[in-house]
Amino acid sequence: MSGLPRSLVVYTVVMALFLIAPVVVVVVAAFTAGDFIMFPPSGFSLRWFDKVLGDPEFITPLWNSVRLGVMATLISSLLAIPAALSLIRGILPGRRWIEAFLLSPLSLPTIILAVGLLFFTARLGIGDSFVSLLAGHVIITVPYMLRTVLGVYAGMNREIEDAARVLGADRWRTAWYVTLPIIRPGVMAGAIFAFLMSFDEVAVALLLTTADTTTLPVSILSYLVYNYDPAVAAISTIQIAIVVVALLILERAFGIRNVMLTSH
Amino acid sequence: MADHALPGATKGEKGGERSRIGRGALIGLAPLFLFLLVFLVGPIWVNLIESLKEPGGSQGLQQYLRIFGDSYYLTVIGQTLLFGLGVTVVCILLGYPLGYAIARAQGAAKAVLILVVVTPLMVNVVVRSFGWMVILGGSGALNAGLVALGLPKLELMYNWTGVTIAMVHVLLPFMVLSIASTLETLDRRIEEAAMVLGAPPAQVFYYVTLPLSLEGIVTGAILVFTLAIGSFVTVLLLGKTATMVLPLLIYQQLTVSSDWPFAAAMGITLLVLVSFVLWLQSWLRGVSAARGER
Amino acid sequence: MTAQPSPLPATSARPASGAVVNIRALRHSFGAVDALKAVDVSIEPGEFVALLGPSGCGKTTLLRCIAGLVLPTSGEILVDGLPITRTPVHKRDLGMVFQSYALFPHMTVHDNVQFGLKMQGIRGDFADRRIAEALALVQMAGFERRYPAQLSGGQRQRVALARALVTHPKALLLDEPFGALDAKLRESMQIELRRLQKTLGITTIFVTHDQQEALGMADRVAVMHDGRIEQFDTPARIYNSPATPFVADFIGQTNRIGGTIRSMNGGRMQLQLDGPDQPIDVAATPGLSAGDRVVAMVRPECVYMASDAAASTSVDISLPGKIADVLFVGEKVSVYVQTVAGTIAASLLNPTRRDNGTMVAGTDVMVGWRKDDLMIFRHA
Repeated sequence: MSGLPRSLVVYTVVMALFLIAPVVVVVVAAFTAGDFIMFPPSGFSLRWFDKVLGDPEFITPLWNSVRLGVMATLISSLLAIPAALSLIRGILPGRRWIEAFLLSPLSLPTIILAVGLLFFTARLGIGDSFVSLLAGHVIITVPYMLRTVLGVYAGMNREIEDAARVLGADRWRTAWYVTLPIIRPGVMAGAIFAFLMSFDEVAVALLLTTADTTTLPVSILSYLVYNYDPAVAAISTIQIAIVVVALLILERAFGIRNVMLTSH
Repeated sequence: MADHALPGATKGEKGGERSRIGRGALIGLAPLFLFLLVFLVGPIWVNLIESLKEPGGSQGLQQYLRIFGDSYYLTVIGQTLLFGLGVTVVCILLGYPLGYAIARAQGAAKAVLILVVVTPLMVNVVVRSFGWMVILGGSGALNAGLVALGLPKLELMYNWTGVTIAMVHVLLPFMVLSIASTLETLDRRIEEAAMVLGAPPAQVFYYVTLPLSLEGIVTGAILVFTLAIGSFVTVLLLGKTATMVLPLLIYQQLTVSSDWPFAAAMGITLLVLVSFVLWLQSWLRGVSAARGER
Repeated sequence: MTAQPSPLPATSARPASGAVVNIRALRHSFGAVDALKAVDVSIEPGEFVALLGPSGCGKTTLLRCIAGLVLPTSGEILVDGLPITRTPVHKRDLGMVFQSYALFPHMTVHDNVQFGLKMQGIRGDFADRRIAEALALVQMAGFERRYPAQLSGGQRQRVALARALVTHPKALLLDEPFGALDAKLRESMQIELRRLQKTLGITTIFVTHDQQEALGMADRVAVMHDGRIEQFDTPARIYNSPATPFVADFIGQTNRIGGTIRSMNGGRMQLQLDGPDQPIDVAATPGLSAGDRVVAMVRPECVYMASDAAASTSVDISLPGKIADVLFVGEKVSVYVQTVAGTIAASLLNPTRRDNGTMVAGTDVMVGWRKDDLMIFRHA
């Protein structure tokens, strides 16, 4: 950070502390030996992790969340990659409007989507609310996927695809042998990002999950409303750990700045 | 053979350059387009229909009259907008220097900073709000510290202060990343040119850096504002009845009162508010684009 | 595979002539803009043709139409007499080298060169032999395992060429292939490509905006302007007998002098240039008639300069003037002389140690040229 004014460096450190404070506090509180959430904690123990990891009330939602996130990410990829390639390659009237529509879930408050999906499920008599939950998560994750792939693909030298076609590859083989391998890092980054978006989502899950499909954030939320013991800090810490691991993979594989610092 | 007509060569391929892909483009776009049509437009449409239901079974605007005829609901709407505005302003003020630092930092420092900003963004809202409960609560970390120093306790939870702090924390990363993105693309040499021309740092910032990063600020502000007026988990955990906002009210109408048509009408109201803000953004962008062309 | 005759051409027994490429009335529009306006070109087997013109003249669009990357609005492209206008890109069997090389960054040199063969279903030892052959041709044997990022600009260029040639395409298309190379490397690649092209006898179409490159390498040059081919001819004729004022202006340097046709008489005409007193008698340009305004052009290297009128006997037109500027460019000196006919540029071989004293601004000199060196066009 050399070259920056000293005051800015100090400010940056203070803001960094502000940003990570609640996360750190939760993690530290999870290791308490006491019966209450306290900061600083009283003593060190792993008893709350023991409790949480043996408690289906937390473990089931954790798996539900992972499963939902993976499924949503897969479906998002299958929908977003061809769409992104088409958007950039194709000649479409009103391209800008189509793109705006496809990215519109980014600016839609999730509560509206959640309420809409709830009515939709009820009114259309979709028996399984998991379909709606999954659809909701796909809608939430797909713009992130789309945006990342669009960014990577737009930055790709288009003559490379032309070269493949002149060399005898039809559209599909060009996509398979040339385009997809080249944009793969971007796709991976988008996928990790999409997974995290689903993994964190609360509003849609809150209205559409049933006892069987409850996700981790929802179970933490409902636990928080009725109990306030360190178990919730422990399960939150597990959630944080999963996120940090995913982010480190993202950083190692692609560089977070490439995903996050894109002017939209 | 000479001069045979080429059907399709001219149709629908006005852009010309990469022709022949017109059909392929549709094949690629169709699945996502249809998916969003069914699961995004569909639910919003059902929501709209629901909001037009009246108690007697007829259709009309009665639910909306209920919202706009009752000072309580109007107060909640006003509170929601003010809250969004307040959070946005605080995010701009706190986020700009941080965004600047990220854009100008190099190497490892930059990677660490981005990680620090992104990590909380990725930790879910429930956990983050929970963290703030631990810090701000009556016997929380902050008050424990104050007591230890012999200072009076602060009331930070279950009021607008606590909700605002937590919400700023939730949304600050969006603002920081948006500003940093714009400043990243800003050519450092433009600032250097201003310095060479004799502008002191403050003037360089005011006349060059700030105007050129305005787009990032606007983008970030719109994003933060729409997210702030649309989220309810933070308010649910850190607020109380006095700090009611529209999305939380919708949630309660659904789960507690089970008044679906009324909740639907409030949902549509929220959607209209958000749409207005987004329209404002594209209008502003149009204005600045027009100015840029001159 | 056993009973049927192999559809593949034998490796080394390639015919020493490439394909005939005919382009008939080819048009292409980008929205309201006509990028190509009825282009006709006939390219002989094994010929090296350069498409030359300023940016936006349509030369790249024409090349991409031939490749199939752009669909023309109307017109026809024939290769060896067969129309390929509607044939998809990947079935045209052409080789192309791109401005950016467009190597596949995720594949090794070997895999890059192999790609075209793989798409044709050619595998095994036969494919490997062809790859080795192609890489040897461009002197890149031994680089098979490298990735494009590990190669220099010139090496990438060679790999791109090998990749384009390995399938033994009917014609080779090159889109400003040397644009990204520095001057020295560029020259050696030009020589090498030319040699390779002659050895293989492959019909080659080369897009460039660099006239020296076009004139130096091509058998024939098509000068393009505003979506049309202005002239399609040998480099010498393009330079010495430009068909249009655009070609005269675009290729090399010219002095432009306005004038009027006084009279026409059989094969001769009387031309009054703007400036000199006397009209001159020159060979008639077809299509002109008395009273027409014309533009007369003369190349700087055809302009003679002398310190006094007596010295300039070999010229038909001579004008007094004053040196305005002298530009020393090494082997030549450009002298700009202010005359009644405007500023006339004269390009003189570097007269070292001879006339240096007189070559300063403000010196009175005579400039002149032979009337046969005048290129006369109707005023646009």
